[in-house]
Amino acid sequence: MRSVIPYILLFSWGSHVLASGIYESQVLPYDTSNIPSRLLENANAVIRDSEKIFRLESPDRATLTERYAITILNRNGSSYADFNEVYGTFSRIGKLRATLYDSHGRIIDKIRPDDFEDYSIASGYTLYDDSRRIHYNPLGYSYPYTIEYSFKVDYNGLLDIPDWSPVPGFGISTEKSSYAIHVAAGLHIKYLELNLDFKVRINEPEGYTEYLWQAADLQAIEPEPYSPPAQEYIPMVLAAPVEFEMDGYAGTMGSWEEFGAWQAKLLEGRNELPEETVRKIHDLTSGMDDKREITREVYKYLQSRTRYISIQEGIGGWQPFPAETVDRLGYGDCKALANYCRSLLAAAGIESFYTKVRAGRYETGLRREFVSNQSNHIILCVPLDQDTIWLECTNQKNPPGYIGHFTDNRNAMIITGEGGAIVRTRRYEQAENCQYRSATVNLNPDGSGNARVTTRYSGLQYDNVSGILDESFEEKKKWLYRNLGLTNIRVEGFSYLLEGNEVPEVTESIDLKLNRCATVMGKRYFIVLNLLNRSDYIPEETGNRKTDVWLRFPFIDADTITYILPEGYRIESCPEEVSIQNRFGSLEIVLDVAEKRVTYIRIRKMNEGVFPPDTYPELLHLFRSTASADRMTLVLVRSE
Amino acid sequence: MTISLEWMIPQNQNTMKMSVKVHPVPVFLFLLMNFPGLHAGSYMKYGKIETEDLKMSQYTKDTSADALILGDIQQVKIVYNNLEGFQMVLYRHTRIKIFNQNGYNWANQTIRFYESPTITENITSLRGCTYYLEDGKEVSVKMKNESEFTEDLSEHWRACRFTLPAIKPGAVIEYSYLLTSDYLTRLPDWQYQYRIPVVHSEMTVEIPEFFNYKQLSSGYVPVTSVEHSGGQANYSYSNTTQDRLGNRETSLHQGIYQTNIMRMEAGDVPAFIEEPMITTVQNYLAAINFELSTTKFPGEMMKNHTTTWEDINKTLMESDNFGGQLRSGLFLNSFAAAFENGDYSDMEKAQLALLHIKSQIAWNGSNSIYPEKTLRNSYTEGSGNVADLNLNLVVLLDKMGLEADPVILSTRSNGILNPFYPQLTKFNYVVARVKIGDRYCLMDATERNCPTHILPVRCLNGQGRLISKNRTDWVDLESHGCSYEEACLAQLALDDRGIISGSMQHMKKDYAAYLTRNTVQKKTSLDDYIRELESENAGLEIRDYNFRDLDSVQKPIIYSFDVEIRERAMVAGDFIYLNPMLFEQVESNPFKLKERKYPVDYAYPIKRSFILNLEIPDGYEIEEIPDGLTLEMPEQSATYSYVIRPAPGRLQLLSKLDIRKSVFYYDEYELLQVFYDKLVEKQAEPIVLKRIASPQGP
Repeated sequence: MRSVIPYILLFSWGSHVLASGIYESQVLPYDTSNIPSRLLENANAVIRDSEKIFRLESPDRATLTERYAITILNRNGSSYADFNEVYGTFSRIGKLRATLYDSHGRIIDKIRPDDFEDYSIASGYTLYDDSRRIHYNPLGYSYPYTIEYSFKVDYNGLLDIPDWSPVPGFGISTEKSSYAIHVAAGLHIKYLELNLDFKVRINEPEGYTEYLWQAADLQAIEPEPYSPPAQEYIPMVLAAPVEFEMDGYAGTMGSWEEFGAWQAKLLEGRNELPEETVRKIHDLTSGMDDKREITREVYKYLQSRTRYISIQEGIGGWQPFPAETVDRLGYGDCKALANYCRSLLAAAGIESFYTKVRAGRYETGLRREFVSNQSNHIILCVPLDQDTIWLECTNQKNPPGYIGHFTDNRNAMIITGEGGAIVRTRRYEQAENCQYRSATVNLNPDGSGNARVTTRYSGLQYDNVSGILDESFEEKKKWLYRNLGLTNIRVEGFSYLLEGNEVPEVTESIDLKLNRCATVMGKRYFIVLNLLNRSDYIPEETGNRKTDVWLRFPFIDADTITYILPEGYRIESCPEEVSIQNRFGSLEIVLDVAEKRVTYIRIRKMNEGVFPPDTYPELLHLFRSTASADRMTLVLVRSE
Repeated sequence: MTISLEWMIPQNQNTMKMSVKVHPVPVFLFLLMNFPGLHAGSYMKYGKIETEDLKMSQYTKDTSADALILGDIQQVKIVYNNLEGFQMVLYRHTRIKIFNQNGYNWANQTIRFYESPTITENITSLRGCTYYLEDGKEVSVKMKNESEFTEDLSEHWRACRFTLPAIKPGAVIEYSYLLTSDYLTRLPDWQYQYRIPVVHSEMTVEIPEFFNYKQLSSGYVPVTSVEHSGGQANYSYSNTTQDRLGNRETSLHQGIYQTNIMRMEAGDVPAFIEEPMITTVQNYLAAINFELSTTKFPGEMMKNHTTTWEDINKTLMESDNFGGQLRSGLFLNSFAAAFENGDYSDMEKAQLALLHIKSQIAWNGSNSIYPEKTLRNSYTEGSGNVADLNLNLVVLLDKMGLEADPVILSTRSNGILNPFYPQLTKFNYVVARVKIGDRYCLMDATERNCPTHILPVRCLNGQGRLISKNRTDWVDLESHGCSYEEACLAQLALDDRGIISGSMQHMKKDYAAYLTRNTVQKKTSLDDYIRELESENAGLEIRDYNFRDLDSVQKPIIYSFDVEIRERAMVAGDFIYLNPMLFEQVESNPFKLKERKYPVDYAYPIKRSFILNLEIPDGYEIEEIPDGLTLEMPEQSATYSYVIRPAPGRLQLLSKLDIRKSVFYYDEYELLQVFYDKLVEKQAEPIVLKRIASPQGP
């Protein structure tokens, strides 16, 4: 496998001769000593030279030719040496090559196509996925080494043009990288340049138009806590075809309306339901005239009849199973279930819209200014007279209308009779995302106590407990033991009550025996006042912060804990109250002290938003103060 | 008849199918036996669902069950096929009740099978059906082709995935299939415990008299009945002879052979419930495995497969892919020769050999007792699996004049070995054992940060088996006195604002050092590691730091900090309260649940000590300090001591935890929990300082 080293090149050309033009023909391009030192700062890998050419030949035909060389400086950069490309029904990967070079840039190995692995990407809930991954992972080369890959992809159906980011991740810098898109005459593309300090160059040779981006000398980026999604700050080019075609379905992406019209074609004729199901829906909703109520009932019917299973095959990646099929099988993927739910709602006389969205807790939604295929999930939008209900059709447990972190507060595309349109999904307000707790703790002289704790979780904080609501009594009990954060306790009883729909609310009541909730030492008695909601997390300090500070969602936690003091003790030291407030949020701690009783009230609010990088120390200050305040201790001493 | 051993390419999941294939030499033709004729379905019949099962809304014996296996029937039979030779045929019929949505994933099933030029497995006659009641009437929905998919997992492994239609709470599903295989070394496992309860599970095995399998049980649930019986089968085969003139004559032979039938049942098997700090679920689920031990064909000598440990030793030593590799290694001569005349101790040689293999060959993450390549190829190409690395190491040690042999073992995630049932397929890892002076030492070349004298955590799983030319024996894999050892010595001064400053020195040894090196290496710089320590320990500010021997893998890591600690001491009125354990405080008991069924497995002993010398601020005196404490588990398996001594203007604290054994059994759990409760309680206690009444004026 190892090729013979061309000995003639073995003379060690030190970096000192590099500057001299005479030797240039003999200098090995991937010698690691050629890398400018500023590109080594914070870098585990360096892109030496990357060249990507995408040729759009017709609405359903294109090729991608890519070649890139990456120097891996140390083992933390080794994942950048991996080759990972996915292909499927509409693409084929060919002409795979990989060559390895040592630190002097001498060839040490050539990898044949057979050495690349090829496996299915299916996993978890996926029953079938026709997409496969080609993977290669070089091992056993001492650092630094350089790996050069080249390959070609042929597309026979297309909706996207590959993105380009000259700095594709953290800890990697770039010497040289370019991206060219060649567009055959008569076809058009669109592009969006993000965080670039240079512009496209457009050339028009005969027969096609070339869009060319060239980047050089880009330093490595370090990850920072509370950064926005990478797209907000790394240099990137997004591109998309204007005219496209997949599996005979042609469309255009001139506007959201046009793109939505293409999707609407794929939905055509897919919403027929068996008569029996239509009858069931009529029976279920007859006598109801509140649209909200009907929607909830139909959604519960969907939840009781279906489950989520992913099957991705061919155009089926964009086209749902017919509603009839889902009705018969009782399962489907997000497309199939949303389309089925839409059909059920239609049977109940409610109009709803198939909605394409980018799902994920830390995703920010479709870019309105750039019409293209950006979604990875489907939900359903049900417009009512006053507001809108959003339905997550793959979840059998969500209260009707609750979509949670997964798809909240972002731009999505609804498909209407006229085509597509951008709308914003539901936002959960600070006052909706609450954890309100009240507790009374009876303390005994030996440090033990009893507590009755009632907590109400609502809005996005419903997810603090949503995972266990359906678990058995024993599992819930174990969960409490593990998650209450208390030692040496006995859970004597508990209950959960779920109410609410679009904004769910769970009330949790727990009776606790605390064998050791205070520390008794000699004549003193110590109580850490924050019984159940201590926060000791402090994000890392970063030197010269570069990215904005992003807080994803707002919330309020309020804890009111009344301690009934043990007989025979008096207060020796009472901690000071706390009041901190800044742009990121606030913490208020108030103590109400009476002779036999101390009430501790802690209200913590966190805001949402994007804040400039130089505000980060304020965020740290808030976290540090909170961690410190949460260790606040009340000291009692035995009365003489 | 001949029996050929064939070595297969290793698969994903690091398994390897070594086949025993039986070929007829004279054309030996058994009539294909009917299947599944054998005691078919006495417990349940496909398609006939009990109405009570459909009506059942919860399982009274376990009301928390999300789903319930109503019946799981496995019938395994070895039959003769005139084209393929002997084959295994499995008939599987499973019926599951689904109570609620958490149980829906039981409707998704995957059957893995194997296809290669020498081993063929096939799934046929797959059928499935869902039943439920609607308005009191039974409805059934058959599974169709649209719900079945076959996928290539890797070059040889396939997955047949299917999902049952129309699942709803209360539904009953069932499916059945036939799996034929010419892989006879191991029969399909009978697993009769799952994460949901099982009402009835049975396994019937019918094996021709020529084969002998042995069984290995695992788990904590007994089988409820075992019956043995005998059967008979007819065979016919034709024998072709040729005389000197080339005339062929074929004669047909017919006869009868005996079969051994075993039928096992397990009923009312409780759901398996996972608990923290166990090695792997596979160790605890009730199951029986069947491994081929001997074959004896008419007119032939009995042939052993893996009957005794000696046989395993012999099989491995004779195999080209293990013993044969150990006899190779000319390419290592030149490296070894460099040490012939030098003045090196055995220990130095062993360490140099290990370092050389570590730097020469990178581990590709795969476990196996067999190399993926030849030793020469892995050595020159610079990568390989565990066996590539460690067999190279054995050979190199041997060439350097040391006594070295491989030790095969099963990793923690692969399950515990049963010493009474030798089974080659249970092993998935190999390390090197070398004699240094009069001691034996185990070595593994996969981890750069793992010193010579300890094995990676994954290897610490009971015992391994020494494989050598002369003899085979058990070898303790325990950590040989090496533990997770860390110590912290703090010289600190507290001032009257509650700010603490001074220096802290840490020492990390053996597993603590190895794991710390791994953590540090994942950081871009030491600075990043320091920033992480600061953010994990609220109030800690590290001013200056110094690391010693971070790169000397053999040595402990010693590092010291100049620190300032804020917000730990509470200053209130005339008092200062401070928990002297600082960042070393164990704040909660790791064992929170009331009871536990399975052992607590720490992997290695643990030693943690903390020594604090604290100066108290001028103008303050000690008002109250915690009492000392000593805790001991029976036989000193764990001890804790907390000693605090006041002195004028200062105090000294010594906290020392010593967990001397790595596995605690379930009957020791309660004591261990109390041990930790007491420790957590003690470590929560603060010291109280009081301002000295200011001296009256002159």
